[in-house]
Amino acid sequence: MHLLVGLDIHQTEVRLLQLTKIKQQIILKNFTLAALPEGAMVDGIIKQISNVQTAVDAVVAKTVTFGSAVAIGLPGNQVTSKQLKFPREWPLAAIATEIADNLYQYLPDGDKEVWFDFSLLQNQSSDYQEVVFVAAAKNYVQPFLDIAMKAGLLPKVIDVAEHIYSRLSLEVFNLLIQGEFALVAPRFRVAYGLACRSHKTW
Amino acid sequence: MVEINLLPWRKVLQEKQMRILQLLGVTGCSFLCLLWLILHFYFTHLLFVKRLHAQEVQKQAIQLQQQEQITQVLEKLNTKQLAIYHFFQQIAHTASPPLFLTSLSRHGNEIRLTGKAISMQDITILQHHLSSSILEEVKQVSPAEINFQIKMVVNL
Repeated sequence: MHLLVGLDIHQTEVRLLQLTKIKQQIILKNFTLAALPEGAMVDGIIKQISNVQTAVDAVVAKTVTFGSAVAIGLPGNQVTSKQLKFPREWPLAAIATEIADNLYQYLPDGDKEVWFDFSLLQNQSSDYQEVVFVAAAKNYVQPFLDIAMKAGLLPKVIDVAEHIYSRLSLEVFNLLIQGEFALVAPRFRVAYGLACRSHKTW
Repeated sequence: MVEINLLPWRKVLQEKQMRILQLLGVTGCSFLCLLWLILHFYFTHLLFVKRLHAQEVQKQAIQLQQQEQITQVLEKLNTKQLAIYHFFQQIAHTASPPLFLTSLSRHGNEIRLTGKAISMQDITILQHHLSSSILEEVKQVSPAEINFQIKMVVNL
């Protein structure tokens, strides 16, 4: 099993967390953070690329994670997230085609170039299946990718912070943390959720 | 559980699957071509060997036929030789002094014996011993010398 490095570029700091697997047990290997100067990131948009780059470089150097596969967390501010309903009998391929064909109907700003993905929600009771659709403009996502790549990381997943929170319950997370990490743990929750990503999608 | 990845992984996955399919297709086609080539060469070789064998059998049959013909000819010749041997044996037994043969000639199926005898009785005995012989010519040269010629029809 390949483990990802979780990179969370937050409004005030950059957080990096790395897990490792020893004898079927996943344990914490590295966690570090670097503060961002004020104004480097405003409303989830990277305003000062060089400052963010310096912070990311610092956390990568500190944890010696050059060349590692990374999952990047995006703040939810600039991401369109919608819940869609499709007939239950539709296969996943049909849903994918439907979303791709009607992509711009779901986007409020009408961005020319967007990156999108969707995930099925487990809903057994109703006659339809619910799908969470997420899209972000390419020029919004690209700086995150560029910064990670310049720091020597290999981006494999770009996820949205809100979904990571919903996926990872705090109780489970608190059980996993130990020692000094417990003090800063909540700040690493997104990075931890990213590092725990399943690898089906990359 | 909601798992989102904004990177174009679906497209990458699709391309990867397509590549695998193409690779499988190419591999399958190559394998079929290879199989076809192997079968083609195998059957061509088999056909060649069979043809070669057939040619050899044919050659052997011809040789056998020729040998049979030669054997037949030899058998015929042997039979003829026996006839000639028998003929000369007859002459050797019967044409003893006081009867002498001076010449022996052949014209087709006819053999002419020419000789000298003291008496006509000796010539008659010789003629009697030689089957299907005709006394053609008898000439008294002197009281003790008669020239004769006997014609025989033989199947040599």
